[in-house]
Amino acid sequence: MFDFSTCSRSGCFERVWAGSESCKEHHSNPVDYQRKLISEIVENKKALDGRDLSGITLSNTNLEDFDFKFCRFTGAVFSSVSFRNAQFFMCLLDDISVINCNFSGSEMMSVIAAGSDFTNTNFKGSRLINVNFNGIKGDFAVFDESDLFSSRFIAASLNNAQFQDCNLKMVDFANASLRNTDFRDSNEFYLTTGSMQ
Amino acid sequence: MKLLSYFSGTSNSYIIGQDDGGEAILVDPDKLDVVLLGLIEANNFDITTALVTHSHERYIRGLRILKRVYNIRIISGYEEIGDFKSEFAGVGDRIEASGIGIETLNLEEWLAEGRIFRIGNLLFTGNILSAGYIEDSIPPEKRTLLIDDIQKKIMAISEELLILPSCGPPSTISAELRWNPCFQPQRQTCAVKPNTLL
Repeated sequence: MFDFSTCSRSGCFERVWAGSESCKEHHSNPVDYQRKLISEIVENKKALDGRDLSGITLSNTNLEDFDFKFCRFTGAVFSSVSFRNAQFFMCLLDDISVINCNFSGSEMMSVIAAGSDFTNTNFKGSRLINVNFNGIKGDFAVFDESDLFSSRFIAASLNNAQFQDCNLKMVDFANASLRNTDFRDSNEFYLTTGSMQ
Repeated sequence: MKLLSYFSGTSNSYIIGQDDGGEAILVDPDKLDVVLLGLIEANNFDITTALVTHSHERYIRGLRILKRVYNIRIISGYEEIGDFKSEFAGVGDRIEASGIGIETLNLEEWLAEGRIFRIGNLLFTGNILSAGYIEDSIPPEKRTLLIDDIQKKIMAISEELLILPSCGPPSTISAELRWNPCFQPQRQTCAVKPNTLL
């Protein structure tokens, strides 16, 4: 299960890094350790269960069709990674940074993605059920043709994002910034005080 | 310890047990359907405890089916739930069930017979706290007191805790402190479930 231990270095209260015993700063060999983690991901027959990959930096990798269950990616940085058709079940994707990544056709169920940066990210045709997207940066993100049932985007920044032809039943955009956000052909959603122009 | 979760479409149920299976706890039993049963069986779990955060008709239905399949002990803030006897969990109590230590958190004034259970770094908050929301049945004039109490008694434990509500997406204390409108200085639109349907 998710490990929230703190660094073994005396006086350091940072969280342990990616299943190790210390934080990234106090790790004896972070470069080799991260290399080992990445090779394990790629060789893992497209299924990862219960892995802590928090704070990992991953670029130019194909993780299409991967199946992630109970994995923790908190604070990870993904650059040019394809998660097309990947599945995330009960994963922690909070505070991650996503640059030029593709999540189209992906499935997320009961995932925590709060505070993450998904600016300009493509989620087209995804099934994102019961996902906590509160506080995300999602300007220019594309969610077209997605099922977002019971997900929440409270206090998110979604300016110029696209939600065309989506299922937005039980979706909450309270306090979200929604300038030029496109909801064409989508069904009802909740909005308490979000700004919508 | 292993945590499993099941979203029925209306609410969340959770299973906690050891990594290699055996006795396990089912939190907030909703629909005990083929999917949930499959999840329990696939992980070699034997549900021996039902932990109920608050009384709801759907949990009574869930318990009825659960009792037919498993020999369970029910733990809640009630003496009885529906037709079933429940072991009473007082606020602040520490209980052991299915080989797992459980703590009930103290928000007595607000929860009445409802309970928030803590198991390790997991908080089963029922309907009192979920991603961006807090309990909506509290009268507006008392809301500030409730928020203060949650901040004092729950948010202060650790930012690392996972919030596992009965309805809505999961969260963390850290995320709630930053994004839940109720815990922001201006407390805008706080503590209400969405009321504007577009």
